Amino acid sequence: MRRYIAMRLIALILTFLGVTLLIYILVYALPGDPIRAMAGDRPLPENVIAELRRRYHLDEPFPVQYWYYVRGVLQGDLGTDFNGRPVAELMADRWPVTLTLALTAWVLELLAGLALGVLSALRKNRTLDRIVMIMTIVAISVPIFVVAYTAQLLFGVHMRWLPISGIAEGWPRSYLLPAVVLATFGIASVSRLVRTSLIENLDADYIRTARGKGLPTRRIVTRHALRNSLIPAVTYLGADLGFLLGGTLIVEGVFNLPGIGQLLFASIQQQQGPVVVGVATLLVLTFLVANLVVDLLYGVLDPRISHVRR
Amino acid sequence: MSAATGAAGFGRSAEVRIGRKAMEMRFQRRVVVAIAASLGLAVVTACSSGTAKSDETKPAAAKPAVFSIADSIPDHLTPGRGYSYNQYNALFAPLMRLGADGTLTMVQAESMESSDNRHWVIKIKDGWTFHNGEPVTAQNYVDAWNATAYGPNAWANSGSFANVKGYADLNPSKGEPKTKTMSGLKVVDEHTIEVDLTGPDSQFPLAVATGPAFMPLPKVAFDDFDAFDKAPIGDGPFKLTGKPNLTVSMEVNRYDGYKGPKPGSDGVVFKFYSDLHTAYTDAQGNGVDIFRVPVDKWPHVKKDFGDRFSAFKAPALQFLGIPLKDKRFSDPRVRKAISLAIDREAINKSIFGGLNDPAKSITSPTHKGSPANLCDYCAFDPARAKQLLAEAGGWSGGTMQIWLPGGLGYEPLFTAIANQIRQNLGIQDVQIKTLPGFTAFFEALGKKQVNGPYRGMWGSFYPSMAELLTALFTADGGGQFSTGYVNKQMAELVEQGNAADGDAEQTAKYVEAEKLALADAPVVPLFYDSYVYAWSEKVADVEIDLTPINITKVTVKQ
Repeated sequence: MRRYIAMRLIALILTFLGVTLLIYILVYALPGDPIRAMAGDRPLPENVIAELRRRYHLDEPFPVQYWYYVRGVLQGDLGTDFNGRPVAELMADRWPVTLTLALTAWVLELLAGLALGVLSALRKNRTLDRIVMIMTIVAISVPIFVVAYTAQLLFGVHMRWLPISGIAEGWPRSYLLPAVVLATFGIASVSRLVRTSLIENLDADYIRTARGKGLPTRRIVTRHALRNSLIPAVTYLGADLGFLLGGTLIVEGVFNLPGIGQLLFASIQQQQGPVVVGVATLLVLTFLVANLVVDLLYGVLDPRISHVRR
Repeated sequence: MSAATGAAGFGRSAEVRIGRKAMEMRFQRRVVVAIAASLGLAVVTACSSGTAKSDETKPAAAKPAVFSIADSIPDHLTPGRGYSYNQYNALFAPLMRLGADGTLTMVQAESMESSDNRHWVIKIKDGWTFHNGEPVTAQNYVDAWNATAYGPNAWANSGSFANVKGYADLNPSKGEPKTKTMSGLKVVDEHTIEVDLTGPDSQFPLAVATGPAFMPLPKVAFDDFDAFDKAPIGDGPFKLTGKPNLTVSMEVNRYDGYKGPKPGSDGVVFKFYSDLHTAYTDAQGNGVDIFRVPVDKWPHVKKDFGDRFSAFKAPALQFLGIPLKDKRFSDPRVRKAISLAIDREAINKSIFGGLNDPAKSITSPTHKGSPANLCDYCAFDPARAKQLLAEAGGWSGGTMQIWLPGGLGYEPLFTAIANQIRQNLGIQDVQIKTLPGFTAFFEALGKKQVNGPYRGMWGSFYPSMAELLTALFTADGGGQFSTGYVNKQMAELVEQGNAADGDAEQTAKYVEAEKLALADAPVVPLFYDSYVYAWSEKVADVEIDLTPINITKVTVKQ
C-alpha cells in the first residue's frame, strides 16, 4: 500500500513538471505580445512597451523564459503578472473563493444526489421516480449558462432572495446560488448513478437472502445495498471535485465571484503567462490528488479492489 | 479505473463477515469525517473571505451616503501609470475640468496662460493639501510629470508629455537616459510652473485638463513607486479607506480637507466585475449603482432602466481603415463607393439601439469647434455608390475581407457592414475575417497582412480636432493606430491651427485640414462612439462626460 502511494506521488511530481512545461509552451505560443494585449485598443508608447518587455523577460527566447520561471518556482517564487502583482498573492486571494464554491457544490451533489437517487430507486417507476428522472434529464441537458442566468433573474432580480453577484455577503448567502447552479449537473448525474446501481443491487441474491433472514428494510438498504451501489457515485464524485474546481470558470464569471476560474480566464485573455501556469498547474495537481484519494477509497468500499501487493 | 459493482461474496466465512462489518463502520465514520471536514473547510474559508465585510460597518450615527461603481480591477493606482480613470478621479484632483459642454473650469489651477501657445504658465491655488496633510506645490506637479515621462519607469501615460521640451532626453532610442528631468519644465515658485513645448500647441490646456498624467504626486510617492501604487495618497475629493483590496472591491471616503467642489456623497465603493453583463443584472437588483452598459445591451437599456441611463457623445470615431497600398483600394472612388453603400442609420438602430451617432465627418461634434458635417461620401446612397464603383472600373478583386479582432463583440457590426457592401455594391463575396483578439489584429496590421477594410477606432485623449487628425493621418501620430495615410499639407495646416491665436482661427485651420484629408477619402467614417452608463434607483445627479463619471456630483437617495 505504501509502495503504491509512493509510486503515485512520484508520478504526480513528473506530471507537475510536464504540465508546467506544456502550459508554458501553450501560453508562449499564443499570438501577439502580452504587453500590447494589456493595453487593449489603447495606445502605449513604443519605449514603454520595450521597457516592460525587458522587465518581464519577454524579449528573451523561450527556454530562457521557462528557466527563469522554473528557477523562481524552485525558490518558492511564482513570479508576477505584468502589472507587477505577485502570482502567489493573486492565487491566495482567490483560492478560498473557488474552494468554498466547489466544496459547497460538491457537498450539495453528494447529499442531494444521494438522497434523490435512493428515493427514486425505492420508488422505482412510481410518480416520484418519474418526476426525479425528468428533472435530472432537464438538468443534464440545459447549458449551465442558461441555468445561471435564469437563477440570477429569478432569485436575484425578481424575488430578491439572494445576492445576484459578488461575495460581499459571505458564505452561505453569496455562495448558495452559484453553488446550486454549479451542482445541478452533478446532482442529476449522481442521483441517476445511485438509482441505477441501487435498483440492480436490490434485486441481487444476497439482498434476497438478507430479506429472508428477516433483516429490517432500512438496514438492508443502508448497510448492504447502498454501500455496494456507491462505487460508481464515488468514482464520479472524486473525479468531479477536480472538475468542479476547473468548472467554476463559467459560474464565477456569471456570478462575479473573484475565484481562480475568473483569474484563469482573464489571464489567458491577457496572456499573463506566469499566472496561467501557476493556476493551471494547481488545478491539475488538485485533480490528480482527488483521483488518488478516489482510487484508495475503492479499496475501502470493495476489498476485492486492492492496491496491496501480495 | 474499472470498478466491480456487483454483490460481495455469498457464503463467505464468518470471519470475513466480521471483518466487513468493522470495515463498514470505519467507512461510515470516514465519510462522516470527510463531509464534516469539507463543510468545516467551507465555513472557515467563507469566514476568512468575509472579514472585509465586518470592517465596513462603522458605528456612525447616520448611515453614510455611499454609492458603488462597477469597474474592472485597476491596473495601477498611480495616475501616470495606468488606465484606471475612475480611481484617479476619486483620489486625485485635476488642474482643470472639461465639462460635458466643452467648457474648461479651473479646479486646482488658478490660471493657465500662454502668449504664443508654446510657453505656458500654470499657476496653482494656495492651501490645497494631499490626504496626508502635505501641501500641494508646483514641485509636486513637476516631479510627478518627470517620473511619468522617464522612460525606464515604463509608465503607460508617458506619451502625454511627448511634446514637452526634453521628453526625448528621458526616452532615448538607445541606452539609459542621462537625465531624469525634462528641460521644458520649470518650478518658478511654490505655485507657478512653466512649461516649454517643442512647438506651439493651442490645444495643450485640453490635454492638461483630461490627462491623468498631469495630476500631482506627494513626496512619499518617490520613496517607493510600487508601494505607493498599492495605497496611493492623492489630493482629490476622496481618500482611501484602508488598504485597497484589488480582488473584490475598493473603498474611498470623503476627504474633508478638499478645497474643490464638495462631493455629493460620503464615499464610493468600486466593485470589481470580470464581466459588465453581470453588473447590468446586478444593477437591476440595486446590487451596484453605476456601471458602463455593454454594447450588446444598448438596445435594452431604455426598457430596463427607463431614464436612469446616459449616452455621452464621446470624441471617438469608429471607422473602416483601408489598406491604401493595395491596388484594389488605391482609387479613392472605390473607397467612397464602399462608404456610400453603408446604411449607418439602419445599423445604428439595430446594433447600437440608436445610441451611437452615424458619422458625417471625421471629427465629431464633441471635438471642440468641429462642424462635423464635412464628409460628402458618408451618406447612404447606393445609386451613387454603384456609379462611382463603375467609374473606377468595377470590382474585380475577388473576395473582399473585412478584418477585425474577434471575440470582443464586434462581429455583429462588421457582419452587417459586410452584408450591406455585398447587397448595395453588388460585390459577390464580402466576408469578415476575425483574428484572435487585439494583439493578433495589431500584429497583422503592423506586418501589412491586412488586405481589406479593417476595424479602426480612435478615442481622442482630449476633444480636439487637431488631436484626432494628428493621430490618424501623421506618420507617428497614433502609432499602431495610424491609418497609413500621411498628408504633409494637412499636417502643416494642423500645425498652423496649433499656433493660431483664438478659437475661431484655430478651428478654421483644422476644418481646412480635415477637408483636405477627406478629399482623398483615406478612411470610411462609421460612427461617433458613445459612453453609455446606467444607474440604480439608489443614486441621483449622475453626469456622464469625458471623465467619464463625474464622481463628485453623484448623490445618494436616503
